[in-house]
Amino acid sequence: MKVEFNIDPNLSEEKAEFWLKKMTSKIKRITNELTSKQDFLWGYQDGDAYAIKFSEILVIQVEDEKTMICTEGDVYIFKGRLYQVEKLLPSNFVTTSRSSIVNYHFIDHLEIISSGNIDAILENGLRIQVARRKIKVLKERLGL
Amino acid sequence: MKKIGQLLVSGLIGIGIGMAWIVVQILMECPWKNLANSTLQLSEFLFWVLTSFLIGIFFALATWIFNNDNWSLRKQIIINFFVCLVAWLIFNFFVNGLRVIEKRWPIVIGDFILMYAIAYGTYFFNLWNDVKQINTKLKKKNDKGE
Repeated sequence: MKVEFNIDPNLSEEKAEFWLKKMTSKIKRITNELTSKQDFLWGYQDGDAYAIKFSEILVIQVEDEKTMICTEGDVYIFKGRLYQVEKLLPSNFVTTSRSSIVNYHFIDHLEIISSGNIDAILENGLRIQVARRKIKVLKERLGL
Repeated sequence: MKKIGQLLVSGLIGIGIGMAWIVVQILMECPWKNLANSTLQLSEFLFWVLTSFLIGIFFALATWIFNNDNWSLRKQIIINFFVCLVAWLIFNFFVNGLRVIEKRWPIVIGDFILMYAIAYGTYFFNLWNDVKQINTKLKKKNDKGE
């Protein structure tokens, strides 16, 4: 696809225009990201609410039926289901299994472990299971 | 609709493998000199096309076992292998009868193991290759500090 940018600091309002043969999930995702004004999630810890920037989130996963937001040093509870949080996230977040969504910017590498399952090893050493059928999605997000 | 499409694709892949298998069978059964004159009855050919298609669809259905994230891959392979083997033996029973299976069981099971190894060997080789590609990309990305 041809991409063209017209950068003008004097523009009164920024806008993006696409010329497409058909709408795809990739374009929908990009559009959601461009139109979304929110760049954080509300997470709860000991009853207090915190605005957690997307860029700080390593992984969001379900543990004991609770949706947890993990950052480098903290864990917060998200008041909602995983599929609900999925809709709010930008494209650098990839659903790696039914119970986890990973920010791929924090993935160090993937590892096929002895049981034959695939783990994503994050930069802080955290291991997240990746379902084999999600490998295709991860490849696509990485531009492969 | 998407799942039906996937089943059809698997059926067509089954036909591809089945046709390759026919070629192997012909090569094994006929003298190499007469290869150009070898013939195959139309009814036999159509039977193989249909059965290969059905086997392909069955393999697609069997792969749904692999969608169970709670099982380790080892467990998934063991269960999938025996489910497919039972189906293969039933199929052979209907096609050849019990007496043929009794006489030729090492060949029947050997055929299955070979087909299973080709189908899933290809799948897991692709998976291993995908992981390798992703790791190379991630390494590049991390080296650039993106």
